[in-house]
Amino acid sequence: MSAARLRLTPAIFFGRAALAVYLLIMLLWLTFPVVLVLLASFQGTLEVSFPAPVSFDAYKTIPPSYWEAFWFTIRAALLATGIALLVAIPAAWAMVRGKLAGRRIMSNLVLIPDVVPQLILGIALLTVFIPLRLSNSFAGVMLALVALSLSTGLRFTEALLEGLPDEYEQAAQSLGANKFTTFRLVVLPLIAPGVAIAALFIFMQNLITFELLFFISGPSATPIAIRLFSDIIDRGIVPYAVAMAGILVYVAIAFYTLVAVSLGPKYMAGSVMSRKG
Amino acid sequence: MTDITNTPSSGLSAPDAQDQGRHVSRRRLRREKTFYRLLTLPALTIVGLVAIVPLLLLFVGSLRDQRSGLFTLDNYVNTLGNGFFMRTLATTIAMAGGVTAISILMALPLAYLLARRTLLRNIVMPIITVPRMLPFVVIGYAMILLLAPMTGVANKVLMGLGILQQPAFILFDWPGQAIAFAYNGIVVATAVLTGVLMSVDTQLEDAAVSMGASKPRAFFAVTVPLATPGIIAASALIFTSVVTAYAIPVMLNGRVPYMVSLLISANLLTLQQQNLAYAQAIIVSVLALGVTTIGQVVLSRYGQRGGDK
Amino acid sequence: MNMSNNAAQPVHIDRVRKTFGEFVAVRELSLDIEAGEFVTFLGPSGCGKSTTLKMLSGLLPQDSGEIRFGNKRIDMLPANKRNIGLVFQNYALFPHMSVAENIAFGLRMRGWSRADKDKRVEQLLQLVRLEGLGNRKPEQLSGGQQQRVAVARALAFNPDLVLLDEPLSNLDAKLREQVRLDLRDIQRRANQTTIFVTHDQVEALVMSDRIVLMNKGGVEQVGTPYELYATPATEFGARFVGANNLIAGTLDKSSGAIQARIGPETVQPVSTHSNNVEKDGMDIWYCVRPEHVAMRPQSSAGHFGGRVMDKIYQGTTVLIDLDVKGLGTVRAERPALEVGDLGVGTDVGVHIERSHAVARLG
Ligand SMILES: Nc1ncnc2c1ncn2[C@@H]1O[C@H](COP(=O)(O)OP(=O)(O)OP(=O)(O)O)[C@@H](O)[C@H]1O
Ligand SMILES: [Mg+2]
Repeated sequence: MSAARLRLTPAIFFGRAALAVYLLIMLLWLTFPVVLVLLASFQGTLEVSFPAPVSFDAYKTIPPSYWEAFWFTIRAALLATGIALLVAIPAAWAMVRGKLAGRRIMSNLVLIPDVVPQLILGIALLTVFIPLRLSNSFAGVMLALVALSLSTGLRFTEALLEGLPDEYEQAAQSLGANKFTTFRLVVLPLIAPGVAIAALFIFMQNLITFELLFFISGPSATPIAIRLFSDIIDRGIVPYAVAMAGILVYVAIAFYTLVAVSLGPKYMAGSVMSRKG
Repeated sequence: MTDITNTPSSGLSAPDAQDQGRHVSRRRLRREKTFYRLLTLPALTIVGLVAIVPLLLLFVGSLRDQRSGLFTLDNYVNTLGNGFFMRTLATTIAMAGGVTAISILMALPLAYLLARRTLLRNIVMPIITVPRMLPFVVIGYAMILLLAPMTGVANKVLMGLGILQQPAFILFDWPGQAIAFAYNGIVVATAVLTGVLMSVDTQLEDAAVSMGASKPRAFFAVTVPLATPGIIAASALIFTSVVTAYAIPVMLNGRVPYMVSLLISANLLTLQQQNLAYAQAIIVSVLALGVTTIGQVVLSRYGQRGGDK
Repeated sequence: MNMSNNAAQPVHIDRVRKTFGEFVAVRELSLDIEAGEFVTFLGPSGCGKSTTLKMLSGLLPQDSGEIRFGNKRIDMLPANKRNIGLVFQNYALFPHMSVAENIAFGLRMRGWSRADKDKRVEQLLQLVRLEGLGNRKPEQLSGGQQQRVAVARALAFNPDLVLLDEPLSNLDAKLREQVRLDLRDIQRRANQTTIFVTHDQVEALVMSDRIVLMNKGGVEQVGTPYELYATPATEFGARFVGANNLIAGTLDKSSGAIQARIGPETVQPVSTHSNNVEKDGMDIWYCVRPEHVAMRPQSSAGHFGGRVMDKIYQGTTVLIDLDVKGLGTVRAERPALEVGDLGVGTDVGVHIERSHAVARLG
């Protein structure tokens, strides 16, 4: 079979060449946003030229309001991830192990924030947040993110627990551990690595959530994605905004590295990330 | 020699003791269920308050007349009878459909290569994963840097090479949006399809080749059908994300084409026609959820081969 | 150091029953187990062995019936209050804990002091011959070693009863033979009341004080390994335990003695298990173990005429398929030395050394 493949007929040659061109175009296409944003952020201009002097001016001129928005987002994302997992893990355990009636319905209910388009959930939240004075507030943004994270968190932890043979829990119980102790000493340590990965993804998802938060954010509660967005509407593209976009690229790369290192190189055959757009 | 007896043992197992024992264990089981129910309570409460109740209120609002507060179907009737809304919806669907088709077609060969070549996959996976960890706005910035009429890289390169005589003004027109959506679509499709194709057994294809099929023929005859559920799932994902996208239409919008999310937000924020906007939001969600559901049904009908493993 | 379980108590299982919807997984099971006894539940896959163990351990509530340790009723207690040690088929050792931590888990749940725990863990490591491996993680042990850790963990807290659910099925054949003797030895030294589950009849015969033979959720027979082998109570028992020739016949008590009538002219004396084979003329299976089929020179008297149809050499013994006049096809198993070069087609005399009858239904 391989002997036949080695003969290089013109048809095979052109096939190979076409494949190589296709691959090159796809790689250029996939990398261009990251490359362009980083190049522009180091040139301090809005025009990417090559070659060009490297300058950090754009980074230095990032205004405090951007940093505020950045840290606002980090805080909200972090808190939402924590709360969501704190709530999702016991819920997932109860749903997977509790043999509760209506289990499917319950877990589908929790998945609603993930299934309904974010834009629509955002509008729905706006209608209740305004009378509650939660729109344009940290608490409002955080709550919206908690709902979203809860869905993702439940899906992750349900999968983790379904993958955990229940013999471990049965063994612990037979050795004298009650439900709570079993959870603390056996279940939690065994799913902890998976939960850590889930936390990273949920945090990252919270960081980049846009449509859900667009309507409920405001001047005193602005996530960084929305800050960047409204500036482009008001002012057009500006160098320091590109620099901030560059910083978000670094964050993404850092996260990717963290996950890749902790999961090993074989991971991400699409499984974890492919679930969401 | 046999210990099997059908006579009750003495003393303790009198009928009432039996009943009492059953009573005790039933109470214990009930307590256990209650314990588990309590554990699900916080999650259900949060989702109830932060998603289900708001969505229900949105739905109720869509059924009310804005001024009188009376229940009516007017918002829906007016929306569906409104030529502008329907045209906008049609444009949106056409955009979403086109983007979906292009994304899948462009991504499928790449995904196939990634699924079969470990080295290539290890190189390319970060390249398609990092963009998915960026806010869509950042992709929008990159689009502007690439396509802007005077300063954009694409125009400069093409004019420098003499291919274009004057800059192409595609950024704030439908091609600009389509390109931005397609970028995201291709990234998503590549990730999903790589996962699906990796779970398709390579031996099936080898078997087809051994029976005399050419490699491409084997790919289309064996692998693509097996990957179809994954293709459908990815399509649903891309389609709904385009239909309900907001950032890109606003950032890259020059009024043409007018996407349905812009119409809804205009009704909501600037035109102060909230209840109408609610009805439109419901219509769009039904469309999006419908497409997702069809994807799910197809996925479950045609087996679990795809998906993640 | 005294390893034995001084407080050992008898276990009483009284009409325990379990259904899954319509399906009866365990039908009214009753059994009394003496303190320190090793009882095996033997039966084919799906007959309800694991379900029974789960009810005993409290992981599955029974529909009715009760379970007692001595005089203490335990079936209303949750699994963690029953004081029963469990060994799983895949061991279920906690992968995030060391061997010592695994063994100490039950002690930790019972609030033992640090020093007591350490001492007890040492004792058990010694008992299962894993001294010095306390700091390893389970994944760093071989299958046989993991199995012994699982046993040590289940014994550590002096349980009233230890349940083992096919604990040897993940070991390769060679190791399995070794480990079943080890296990038996550990159980004896600890004087630990034990229920062992297997679908391997050899395992059951080798290890048990008594065997509970199960089929389709019910008990077919309870007895010592010898009783099960020599005097099966039912057709199922006759077929499931050991090899057996089953030949259709009827019971003949006309002469006072218990005999089997096969075909028009053959009448042979048989043993029976109990009073369920008693009615004159009832349908029975005439059961002959292959090793009780002896071959004689054709000339001698008091035997059936037979012909060697096939011969399978197995090392120490040879399986011989015989066509026996009046009985049909009968398989014999004889020492290889005795058989010599007996050829296929040879006519021989066949003598049935022992036979047994079980009721034939349908
Ligand atoms: N949760 C359940 N729901 C419905 N049926 C069940 C359940 N658990 C067990 N069964 C059924 O009960 C019967 C007995 O199961 P059990 O696990 O006790 O068999 P077993 O004797 O241990 O078999 P094996 O040797 O294969 O382990 C089986 O037919 C099984 O299908
Ligand atoms: Mg079993």
